[in-house]
Amino acid sequence: MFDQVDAYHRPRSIREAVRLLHAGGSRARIVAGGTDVIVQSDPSIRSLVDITQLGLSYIRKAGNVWSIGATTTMAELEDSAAIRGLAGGILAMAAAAWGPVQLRNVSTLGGNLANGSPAADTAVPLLALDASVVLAGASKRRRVPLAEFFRAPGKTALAKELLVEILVPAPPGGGRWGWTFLKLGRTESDISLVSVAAGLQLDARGTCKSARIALGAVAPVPMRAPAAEAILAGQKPTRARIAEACERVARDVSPIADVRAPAEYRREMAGVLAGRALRECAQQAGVTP
Amino acid sequence: MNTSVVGKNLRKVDGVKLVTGGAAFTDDVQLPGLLYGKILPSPHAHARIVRIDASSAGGRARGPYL
Amino acid sequence: MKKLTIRLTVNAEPKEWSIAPGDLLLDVLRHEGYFGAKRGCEKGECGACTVLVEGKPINSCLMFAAQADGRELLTIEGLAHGDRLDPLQEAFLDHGASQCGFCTPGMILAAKALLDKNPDPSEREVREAMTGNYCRCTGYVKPVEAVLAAAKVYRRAR
Repeated sequence: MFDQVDAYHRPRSIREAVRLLHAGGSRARIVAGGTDVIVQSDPSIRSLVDITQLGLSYIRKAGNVWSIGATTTMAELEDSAAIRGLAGGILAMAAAAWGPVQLRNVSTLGGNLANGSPAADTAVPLLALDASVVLAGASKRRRVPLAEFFRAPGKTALAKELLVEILVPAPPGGGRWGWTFLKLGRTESDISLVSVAAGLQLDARGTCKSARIALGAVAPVPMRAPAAEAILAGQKPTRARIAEACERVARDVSPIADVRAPAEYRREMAGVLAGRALRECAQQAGVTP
Repeated sequence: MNTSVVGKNLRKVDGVKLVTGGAAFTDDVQLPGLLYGKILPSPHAHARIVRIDASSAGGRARGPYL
Repeated sequence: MKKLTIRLTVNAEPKEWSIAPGDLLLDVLRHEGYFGAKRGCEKGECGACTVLVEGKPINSCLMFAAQADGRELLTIEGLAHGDRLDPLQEAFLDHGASQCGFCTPGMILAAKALLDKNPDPSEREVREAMTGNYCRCTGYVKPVEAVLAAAKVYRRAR
């Protein structure tokens, strides 16, 4: 399958890795878990750049911001007490539901994002949490909000750079938060038909201070639903309000039809899952809608 | 009625081989000089084979064996 | 195209193999005589190629052999101790959990990884841990039964 590959590199520094990426041009590929690269089976690949020796597997907190190294695996996220405690564990849930254990053991957070799939499950809770990514180029690093990172299916903001870190700000304090992540697939280990991450912050009177709704697999890129969020902000999360927000979600997604599901089904399920998620969040935050 | 097989929980005769990864399937058979066959179906129904041109197989085809 | 040398441990034995940079672990294992890892879907869905790397199940069809450098592998061939089968292997035999047997090595290794981490799994947990091992013959009931039975044997042995 890859008998045209003539070099497998294992750089010891990020600078070296980026240099190899530039040197290899369009025929070089980054390998962390390797699962996307191998499945995609691109016969034009000539060099592989293994980034697992760069010390990018970590989960740390500095002040109010979590930083996750790009080669942290889904299994590590799922098992991490810190990630399970962050925002109701929505990132850990996404990692746990991500696929079978064999894939979770090797697939990385950075790889899932860099692959740029509209269905990237981990992107969904990260978008809900206003995460950003750190990209390392030949001479500098830049920080890009995740909301600006995905450009089109399979296309990201990466410009001959290495995604090295994911930054997640802790959600603002005050009131009570409820968070959840839901995924719909044909089977438990399938690529999502629809995935939703939602968070509701309610004040002492049960009024919504902040609403976050993010969706995957229903648009060219993973997305937030700001118009639906605005319907809930400053309001009490009643059934009627939530239903109104879900109707907006269903209008605002732009799913495609593919082998897994027709577009209309995805559109309808986006609304249904958003509803379940929001009701669950409200309940967690102390209000039964 | 004395039975040695009926109603007994018996292991498959090839069971041990299967649970220990023994060579049990076609692809597990490796012999020196092993040939691999590939079927080329005719694009024409009910046609009569007049001649076979194996040159595009790049010299790697031996035969063809019919 | 330069060959690489990888040094790894397979079933507690040190190995040194010469590979091409783009070689996949599954192909190299089978080339070296470890036929227990099967070529199934070749895209990480069926789990027939499952091997354990430092005790964790991975799909060897989705790993470059070069990534195995410096690692410790366990294949199905390394599970039994000489003639003594592992309780998982015994349980698969006694519960009729193998029919054609193609998925069996992968299933047993995935189950071993589960039981090493969680000695008293629920049925749901067994099914979840084996989500990545497809079987066309058994309908999964017997393999799950076998894993739960083996778990009991493991626990008694402790």
